[in-house]
Order: sequence, then structure tokens, then C-alpha cells
Amino acid sequence: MLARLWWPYSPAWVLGMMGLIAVFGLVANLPGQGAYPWWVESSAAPRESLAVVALPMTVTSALLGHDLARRGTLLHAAAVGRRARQLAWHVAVLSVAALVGFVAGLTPLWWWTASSATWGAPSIADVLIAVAGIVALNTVMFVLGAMTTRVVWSLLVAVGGALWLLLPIVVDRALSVVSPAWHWSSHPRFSPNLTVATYFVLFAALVVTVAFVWHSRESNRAPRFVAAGGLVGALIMAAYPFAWRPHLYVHRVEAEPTCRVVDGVDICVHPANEKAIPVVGRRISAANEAFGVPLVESFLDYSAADVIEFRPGRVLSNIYPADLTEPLDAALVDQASGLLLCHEPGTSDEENINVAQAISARLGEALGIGHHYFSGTDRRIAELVASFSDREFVQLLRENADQMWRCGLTREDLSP
Amino acid sequence: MSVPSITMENVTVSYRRRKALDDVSWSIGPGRVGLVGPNGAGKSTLIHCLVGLLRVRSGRIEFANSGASVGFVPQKPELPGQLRVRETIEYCAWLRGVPRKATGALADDVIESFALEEFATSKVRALSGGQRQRVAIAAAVAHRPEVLILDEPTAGLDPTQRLAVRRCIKELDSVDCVLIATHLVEDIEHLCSDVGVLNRGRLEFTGSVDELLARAPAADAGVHGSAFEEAYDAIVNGNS
Repeated sequence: MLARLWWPYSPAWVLGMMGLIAVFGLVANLPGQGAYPWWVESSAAPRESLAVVALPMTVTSALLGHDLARRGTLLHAAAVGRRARQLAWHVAVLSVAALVGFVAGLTPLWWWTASSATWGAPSIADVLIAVAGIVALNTVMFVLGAMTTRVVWSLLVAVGGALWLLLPIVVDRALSVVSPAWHWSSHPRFSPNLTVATYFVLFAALVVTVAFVWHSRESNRAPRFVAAGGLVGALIMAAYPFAWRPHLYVHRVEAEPTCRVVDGVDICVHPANEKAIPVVGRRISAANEAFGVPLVESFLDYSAADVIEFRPGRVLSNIYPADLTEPLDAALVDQASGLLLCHEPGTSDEENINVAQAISARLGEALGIGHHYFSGTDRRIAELVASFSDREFVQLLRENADQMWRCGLTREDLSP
Repeated sequence: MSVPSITMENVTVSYRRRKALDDVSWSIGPGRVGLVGPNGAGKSTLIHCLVGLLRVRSGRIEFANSGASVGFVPQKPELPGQLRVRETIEYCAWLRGVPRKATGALADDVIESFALEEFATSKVRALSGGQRQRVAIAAAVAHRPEVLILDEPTAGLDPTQRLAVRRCIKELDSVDCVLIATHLVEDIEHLCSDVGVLNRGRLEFTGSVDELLARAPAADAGVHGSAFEEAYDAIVNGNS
């Protein structure tokens, strides 16, 4: 019964292919995950690891395609060109096998993320791109393998496919549209959208058409201009992403932030991080209380920010799903003290930075961040700030808040 | 007079400048018809034209029934070794467009007619060359074609296996026309009523086996080979 499902492939071949893809998928997704899995990364894993997973697939698809359709086999005897439906079934079976293997390889990562990550969700676009990529690549390699007349050609097709996947995509990211490439999401500005999945399918369809036309050129089934037209079409498709990349990539997904006021603080986050609002609100309230002065007036989630701009009274921070407390506290202290603005070119001198460092260390101490110690160059300033009583420190913050936020405080301002 | 199963008119096929088939006109069948010729004569090209793997450059090929289905057993049929005989026949029928649900009953019929019951559950890789050839023929007729084309069906087989395959071909009652391409003249003598001789892309002779035998030079008959071989040699090499 099982044999009927994937006839005439050997079960060893199909299961072997699934196993290989599962192992490659698993290995590709082991590194790169920090202590806590993050849906944003786990969700992108299918398309990000497509190139690695596709390596064994290119080889098996091309060789199986060749093995199935070479001269003398039953499929060849049934006249390959007239059996598109049967050929499609074979491709479909292999594609499903590849997808099952891929899912098996990704299951540990997704299981881990689902049980650990506190918010976020898998992106349907990421999954669809991965599925379209696998199916398209499998189809292309299988058909090219089937069209080759000698096993050496199918091996070359397989190796060529593998090399194609390993192309250094950093040369031009547009290549990733014609190849399930590496590091799609590493670019800060572009992220692939569903058009990429559509493009995969169109590209595969065109390659398959050209392959069929090329294959039947000897049998005179297609006039030469049809073959030439197909070839030109393939070239246009290959050139398209280079010329029109903006159509295939979108600016980092823009979403109207979700905002809520908690204890008088305006908190705005990316809709996917909405669940984080209470935690963020609690930490900011605790910080304002610890500082003795409401230094933080608003909070903006980094994911919901179009422009990275630090403003007085506003804290801009990533939402860390697994453990938000510590990185958020660090961001609160660094930005409330104006320390981050000190690194803007031309805004501050060394004395300003030392004062900001000293205030930041004192705020960190107040908030209970043990490691947030003074790291400036003038220890006398740190000692001076440390010598302030709580009342004196709060008075300093209250009277000089605006200047502090701009990293403009000097040693003179610290004098009573 | 019966209508020919296949009619070829002025069929010409060229590979670059070389003509593989040169103005071939021939009416074939019904019945078992042989196609003989030396290596490179164009037999495989002609067969590929008939089964649709190759389209003729000029001329035309017509089947008696416009939608006729054709079964084909290539010279070295490569059957998937891991499949069982019954699965192979079902698979081949499905490849030929038979719905999956119907393939089982067709396979049973073919297994019975070809007396393959004892191998039905054996894996193909466990069969001998002759048994595999019988399975290949059974698989090729599973979808009940009107025309069956066999390319060198007994090549590489020992005499016992050759006899078994010939017996199998003779029992093909359901097929309207069987075209057997071979360079073994014994196959033609024992299987066919009509024959065509192809040489350098040209059809040098068409007619009954008796008419071919009549071409054998009287002086050499039976001296160096059979009368059939002498007649064939006379046509192909002009030795008379």
C-alpha cells in the first residue's frame, strides 16, 4: 500500500531523503538561538535555513528525476512529454516528502519556542515562502534531472543547484529572490514578503517550461522561436529582482503601534508585543519610584519604531520575550540618565560623559542593577555623585532633568 | 481487405544533415509485423516516431483508430527493481492514464493471461532476464493498447528465455497489431506474418515473410544460413 503512494521510488530513497532533510533542518537551526528562543527568529527559521535544507534535496531530486525518466524506464516508455500529470504526481510526492522532512527538522526549535517564548507568533509569510521555495526548487531540480539524457548531466545539474544555493548572497541581496538564499532577514531594511513565494512558483514554472521545450527540440515538437522565447522569459525573470527589487521586498513591516497609559506613562509597542505592556508598565513604575523622580515619561518598542531616535523622557527598547526585566531596566537607566545621547557625535565632551556615567551608576544602584557600575574616566565625579544623600540626588535630578537628558551636565552642576 | 492498423506516408526524420528515415511509406497490421534491419538502419527512430517520442519532420503517421493507444517495450526495459510484479504492471497502467482504482483489476487480467501468477508477488529484481521481459510486455499491454511495439524483445536472452518470450508474444490476443523490431531473423520467422526491411533509413522491402523468402538467392539457400537470412542479406547488401 505504501509503495503505491510513492511508486516507483524505493522507500529507502524517499525515507533517506526525508531523513537527510530533517537532519539538515535540525542542524541548521541549532546555532544562532540565544538562551531564549524568540518567535521573530524561530518563525524566520524555515526560510532562513532553506538553503541548507535544500542542499540534499537538489541532489536527490535531480538524481531521482533522472532515474525515473531516463531512456528505457517505464515513464520514458510511456512518452514523458505526454505524461505531465503523472510527472507532476512524482514531483508532488517528493515535494511532500521534503516538506515532511523539513517540518521534522524544525519541530524541536518550534516546540521549544512555543513552550518558552512569552509572546509573538509564527509568521504565515515566512512559512509560505519556505514551502514555495522547497516545492519550486524540488520541481526545478526534478524536471531538470528528468530531462537529462545521461547520469553525468543530472549530477552536474545537482551540483550546479547546490552551488547556486551557496552563492554568496551578500554580493547582491536580489539574488536571494531567484534562490532560497541565506541571511534574508539580516538586512535591517528589507524583509521578504509574499511576493517572493509567488515569484518562486513563477520562476519554477518557467524553468520547467523551458526544460520541456529544450528537451523536445530534437523531436521537433516546439519551433525554435518558442524555445528562444522561453529562454528570454527565464532571463527576464532572473533579471527582474535586480531591476525591481523594491517590488519584491518591503520595508520592515510597519504596524500602527498599540499604545496604553500605565501609571501616567505612555507605553507604545508593536501589536505583536501587546502582551508585554503590563510588564513594561510595572518596570517603568518601579524605576520611576526608585529614581525618586518620574524620569521616564514614555516608552516606545523598538519593533514599532520607524526611526531610531532618543528623546528626553522617552525610552526606546527592544521587547525581549523571555526575560524582559534586566534588559529593560538597563535601557531605562541608560536612557533616563541621558547616557545614550552622550554617544551622539558632537553633543558632549568627556566631562559630560563622566557625569552621565556617574548618574547612570547611581540610578542603576537605586534600581538594584548590581552590574551597572561607573565606567567613566574620572572617578572623582563618581565619588562625588555617590556621596550625595538620596534627598540631594533626587533634588539634582529634579532641578537638572532637561540638561541631564541631553547629556549636558558638568561637574560644576553637581556642586551644591 | 482489412484496414491497416498504422499507415506511414513519406515519413522523413533528420538528425542535423543525416536522414535517419528517408521517405518511408508503409502500412502495418493488423497482426504481428516484423521490422528488421542492420544496426543504425533507423529502426529505433521509426519506433520513437510511432510511440510519440519523436515527431516526424515531414510526412505523416496515422493509426486506424485516431485515438489509438500504443504500448511500447523499449530495447532494454528498466523496471523498478524494488516493486513487485503486480505493482509494476499497475504502475505502468497508471502511467498510461488508467485511473488508480482500475489498475488492480487490469493487472490481475494481465497476470493471468501471461501466466505470471507465480511471480506476481516477487520483486522485479529477483526475476531472470526472460521473466523481466515478460513482465515488461505484460506491463506494456496492461492498459489494453490497440498497438504494441516491441524493440528487440529477445535480445540478450538465452534460447529458453527467448522461446518463453516468443510464446508470450504469440498469446497477445487482445492487441490488434504488434510491431516487432529486431535484428534476430528467427524472431520474425517464428512470430510474424509480414515484414519490413529498413536499411540506411529507407524501407527496402515490405511484404509477407513468404515473399521475403522468395528473394533468397537459389544458389546459396541453406549453405551459410537460413533462407530468411540469405534473403535479408540479399536485400540489405544486394548479394544475389
